[in-house]
Amino acid sequence: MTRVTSLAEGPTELDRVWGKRPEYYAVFMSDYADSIERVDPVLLELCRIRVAQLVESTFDLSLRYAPAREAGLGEDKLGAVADYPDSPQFTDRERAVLEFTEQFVIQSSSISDDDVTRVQAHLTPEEFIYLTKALGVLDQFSRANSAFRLAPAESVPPTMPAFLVRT
Amino acid sequence: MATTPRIPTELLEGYFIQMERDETNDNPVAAISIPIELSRLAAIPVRTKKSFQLDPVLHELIRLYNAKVQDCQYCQNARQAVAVQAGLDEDMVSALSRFETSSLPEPVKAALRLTAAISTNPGLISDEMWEQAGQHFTEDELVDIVLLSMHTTASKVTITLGLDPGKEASSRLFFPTEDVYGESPELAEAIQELRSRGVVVDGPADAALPVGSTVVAAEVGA
Repeated sequence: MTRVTSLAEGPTELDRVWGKRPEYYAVFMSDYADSIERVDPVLLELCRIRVAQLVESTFDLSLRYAPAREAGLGEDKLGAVADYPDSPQFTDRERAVLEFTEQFVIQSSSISDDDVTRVQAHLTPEEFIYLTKALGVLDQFSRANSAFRLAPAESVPPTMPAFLVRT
Repeated sequence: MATTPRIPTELLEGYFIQMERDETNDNPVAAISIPIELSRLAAIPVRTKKSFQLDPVLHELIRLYNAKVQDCQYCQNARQAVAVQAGLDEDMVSALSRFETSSLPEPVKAALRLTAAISTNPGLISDEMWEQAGQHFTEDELVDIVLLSMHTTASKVTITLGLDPGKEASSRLFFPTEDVYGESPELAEAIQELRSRGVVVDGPADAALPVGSTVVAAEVGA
């Protein structure tokens, strides 16, 4: 359960905590939804899970991105995300993107031009732009949810219609 | 541009670190900027009825802490005019990178511990750390500290894309009445309230301010 005790009204814990600032919550979630939608759903979900692992957000880890599941991404592969450099389940493109994701989460100002060139070899310029923006909102969202210590989701928050609860 | 763009220039036209998201703006690069309405709601550069409600000096120290940690030159150069008038000085700003051993007041340190953990690993926020901060702040303020700490990491996208506008592009002092901060009734009300207390809410970006104003001039091009 979250460490925040005086909660707003809302159907899920996410809504009850973020809903203490309802206007900010609404604009943030709208930008979040728009930003993740522009990325290949399987890549997005792999990145989202890796970000949540690194910043220790149990809430984010309890959700699944429905478009990625529809595209065939299963629990076997998601369970291997932390082992992406060695696991045979990942393509070179996925490995490059996950490595870039880790750099972005840990210290984005240390990403070198060579690091960028390495990931860009697998992406069009537009894909690179939209991946970076998506990483921005995934990183922010998970960090706040981890700081609030949100519990694993029991139901899908209305602000996250593209998601499912992990079963 | 202070850094070298890492995306083709033809895709960048019209980009800025924060941009308006509305039907009048059909610029595709707005999609990768920070929605400016989000910054307004984060009380940058002034708090309104609907925004976060933190003390202006604490608010600015949190913002500047992340500006340093994320290495955003544009963000580091600027000072919220309201915070300067509320007592923010350059010694406090210099102390940020070693705040724990600095002479910053204990409540500021308790808040910055949360900000620092959020920018590195928020899993490190212990119950003790949260409770310690709770001795100085209400729970509503703690929520605002978390959200502001998170909000001010948004520059990571700009920096990663090689698009930090640089310190030359930001005003040393920034005021709530600048065009970009909009014209909402909440903002108008907040400005009126500040004026009635004698706070200067518009003026030149580099001139001295009255009372408590110790801000130094920008070193353009340095």
